[in-house]
Amino acid sequence: MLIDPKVTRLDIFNNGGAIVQREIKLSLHQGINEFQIQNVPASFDPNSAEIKLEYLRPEDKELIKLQQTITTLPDKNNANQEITREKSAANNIISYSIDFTREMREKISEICESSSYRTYADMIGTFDFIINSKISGDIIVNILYFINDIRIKWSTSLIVKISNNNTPEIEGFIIVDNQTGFSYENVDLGFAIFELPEPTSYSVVGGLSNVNLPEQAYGQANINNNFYEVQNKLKRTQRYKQIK
Amino acid sequence: MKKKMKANIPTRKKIKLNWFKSKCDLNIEREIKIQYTATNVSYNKINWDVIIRYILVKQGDIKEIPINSPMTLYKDNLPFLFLNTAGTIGNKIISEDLIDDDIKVDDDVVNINEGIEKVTYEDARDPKEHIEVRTRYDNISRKITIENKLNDDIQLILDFKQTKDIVFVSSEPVPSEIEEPNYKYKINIPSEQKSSIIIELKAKIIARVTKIKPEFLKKEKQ
Repeated sequence: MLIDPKVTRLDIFNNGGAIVQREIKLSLHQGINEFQIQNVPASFDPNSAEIKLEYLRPEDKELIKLQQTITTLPDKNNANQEITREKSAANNIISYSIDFTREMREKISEICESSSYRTYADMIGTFDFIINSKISGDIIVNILYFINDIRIKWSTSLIVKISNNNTPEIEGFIIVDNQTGFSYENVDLGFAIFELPEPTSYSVVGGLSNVNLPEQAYGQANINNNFYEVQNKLKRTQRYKQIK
Repeated sequence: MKKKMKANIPTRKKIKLNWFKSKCDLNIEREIKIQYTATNVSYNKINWDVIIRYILVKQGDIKEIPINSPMTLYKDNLPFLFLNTAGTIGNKIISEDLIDDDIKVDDDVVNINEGIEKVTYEDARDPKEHIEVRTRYDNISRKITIENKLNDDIQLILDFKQTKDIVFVSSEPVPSEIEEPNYKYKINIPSEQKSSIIIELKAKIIARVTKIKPEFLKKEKQ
């Protein structure tokens, strides 16, 4: 069954990336229940994907079990071909759109713009899970995954007001920059100081995407004989610090 | 209880959220860092930069602000300074270091007493050659003049750091704080006034010349 759990919380890192938490109440029937989560970006890290079951009744703990999760990322070559085709189609649309009315043109440029920004990270990843239930009933499912995409990040801006008579005043603002293809409606926000690891070993050849996925490192490892030598040690600053 | 922040994050958009607003104390730190080399210690004139940094001591909760966050200082509702943060320590928000153009530092040589040269020899790569090492200890006196071009009085720290070749001997006035190899002077300069320090230094000057050993020199034709 296709499900689209609501994004309840987003913890954004200052140097890019985020942790997404989603929640949904599901009705289960007796036996195997298969679910497929929609709107999971291809920038998600399958290793970090986690499902937590929240039981509505204490006795459900023994009767409802998470059997497994299934995660995959779209094939990079196919995804890039699709993106290229989309971009070329968008170019064609824009070249024939000059006779449209103003309203239409704006709509078309919006479509073309979004296609021109599209990268592999904006494609859809697969995150399925199977729940084995001995009873029919309801359960709350919490989903958590890490987005490895530097196009979503936060920064701060400070304003200090000085006057001759009063004590200076400082005002801090948080600026969230979301250049990904995904929107988040009415979410709880968290902010953390965190730097993604150096892209040397995980970087994507060709530069079509800004994401660095651990899975893509295998290909690189075979090419580079000195794989372990080139890996940079992480700095102590590359740690998660939650901002209050 | 921690306040929750809720927002809509639309695709390909930037959103701005209010984070905090509080009173703070603004402190300005100025510093001149002086360190000579065997070469520049005898220069007639050296100009040093005055480094200025702004330190804001925020009242209320501690907020950890990422480094390089832009900060704008407004005076009487007009922006007068754009800078970035260099870090936070507790409630202190420290700006990046900037050069203060309103304070001029002239460092002039006053006197050089050259010492007696002591000559030693070192082996050269070519067995027919050797390196003549001429070492002498010069006593150098330099005058550092700091001019405050601002309309306000300032306080600054002049931090002289001695090295293995340039050693501190004495100064007028004496340093406010000595923590070898650093000699620090806390200086107050009224508006549009100058202040001077005379420093006596001992400099180890070494000159190396590669020469043919005397026994290999061709005898001049008589």
